[in-house]
Amino acid sequence: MAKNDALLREVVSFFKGNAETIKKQWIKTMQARQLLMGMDVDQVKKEGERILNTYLECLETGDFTAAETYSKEYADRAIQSGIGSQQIIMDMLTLEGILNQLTYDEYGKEAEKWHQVMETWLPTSDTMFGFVSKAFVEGREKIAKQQQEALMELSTPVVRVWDKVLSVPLIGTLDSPRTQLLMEVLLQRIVDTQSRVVIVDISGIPGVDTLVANHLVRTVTATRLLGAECIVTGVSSQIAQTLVHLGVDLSGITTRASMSDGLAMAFEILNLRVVSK
Amino acid sequence: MKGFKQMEAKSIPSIEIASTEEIVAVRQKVRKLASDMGFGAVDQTRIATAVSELARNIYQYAGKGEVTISSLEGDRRGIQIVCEDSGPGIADIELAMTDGYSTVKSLGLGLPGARRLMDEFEIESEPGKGTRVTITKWL
Amino acid sequence: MAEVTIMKIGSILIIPIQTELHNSAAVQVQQDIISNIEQAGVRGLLIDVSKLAVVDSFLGRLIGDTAAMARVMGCQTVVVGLQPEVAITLMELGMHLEGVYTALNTETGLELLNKVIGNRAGEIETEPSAGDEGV
Repeated sequence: MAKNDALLREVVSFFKGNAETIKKQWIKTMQARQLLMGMDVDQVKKEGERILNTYLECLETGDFTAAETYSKEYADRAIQSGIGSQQIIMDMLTLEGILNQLTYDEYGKEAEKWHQVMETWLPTSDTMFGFVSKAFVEGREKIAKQQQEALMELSTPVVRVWDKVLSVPLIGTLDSPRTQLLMEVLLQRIVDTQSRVVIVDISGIPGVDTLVANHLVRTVTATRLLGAECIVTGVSSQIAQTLVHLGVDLSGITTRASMSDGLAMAFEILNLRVVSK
Repeated sequence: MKGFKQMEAKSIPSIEIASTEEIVAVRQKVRKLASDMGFGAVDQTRIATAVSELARNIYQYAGKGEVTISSLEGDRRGIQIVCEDSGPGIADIELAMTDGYSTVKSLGLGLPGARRLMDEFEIESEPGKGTRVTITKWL
Repeated sequence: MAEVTIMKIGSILIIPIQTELHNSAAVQVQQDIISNIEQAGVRGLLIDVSKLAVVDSFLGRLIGDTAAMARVMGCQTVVVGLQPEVAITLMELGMHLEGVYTALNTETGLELLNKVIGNRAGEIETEPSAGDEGV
């Protein structure tokens, strides 16, 4: 260990002594690769300084807290300002390339020593690279999830069409996560508005297969447990044919061809009558 | 050298199940933890209900046993519950996992129901030795 | 110890379950309901579960059994106020409370019960407008 410590100190001070060269080289390479576009000179300098300092701190202490902080902060910044994955990856690879060259120039003549020096600094660089990519991917995933959730909420509107009557016009595909959300939103709205009838319109769903039918049955079952009646409308002749061919049993569900038929039935359930003036 | 964070689990002390009062107590405890962790109302209810089913199984088949609730903190957060007893065990797990199968005139929805309510479900059992069921729900 | 009050209004029994019931308490409630039906010419049973955060298969079955026993004694059952999350969980558990009517609240539950048992004037004010279907 003692020998490695000495070597580590030697490598750290070697890199620190060449910090200015490394930074300059880094900026030059990144610019030559047409990365760091849209950043002014100061920002570019700062970026180079940040990555090198973080790396040196991790190398010196063997602790990756700095790398973790840097990665998270950088990933947030990158996602907000639209920095692409290519730059994120090249940031670290460029630094590694420069350090590699520098090490070779200094120690290349003695193979054994050179090998030991590489072993001293390279793993730290790889681990830091791991942190940066992980933070970036996680950041992207987080954003994607938020967008997806926002989109899902938009795509499951529950509308109050009459006192005690709710309507859900479904558009797009009805997959499991969406059914789950629909059910939660719908049931809560039923309780909030004390609605007695729910009209689920499926005319905007392109394909109704066994899975979709199953999701519908689940939604209807849960609605009934609360004490509300569920009417499924928008069952086109094509859907009706498909369902029968698939052998899907919808006999437990009240269905109507159109939304207006559904509304008429809702009025009947509530004992209401529409008359002309 | 410190690498990536490993999965860490924090458990609250195991709860002994020896009477039906404790079934109510254990599901209140698990709901509290799930709520503190940030699970939504529906998931809290799913978790509490699954635990209720398994705790009742312990009471009904083995007389007594233990429930351990832990929060999983790491790359992926979740709640994990282990229900174990040293009761008669289950001879045919596949059969026990079938909807409607029961040896004590219950509805037989306990095990398959708990599996449907959770994200992960694992069961180990040896006749004469006991049963251990581990269930997990991810945040 | 959990206490469940059973109220009788006209020919209807109202049972608001206010606390989580453990086995023996739940079985006791079932006993009380059944003997009440037997003694007092009850035609309808309204079980309010709005305060329950968990209905597992045990309690679900107990409710279903109670309704079935009541039915053979000529009495219909409506369960009111199931929480949305409880309804979703029950459905996923595979319990659909067959043979039991459901309603959103006590008011609509009473309306529904009066309709299905064909209550006449003098019992509870009825407006024969409900159209809920049993499950």
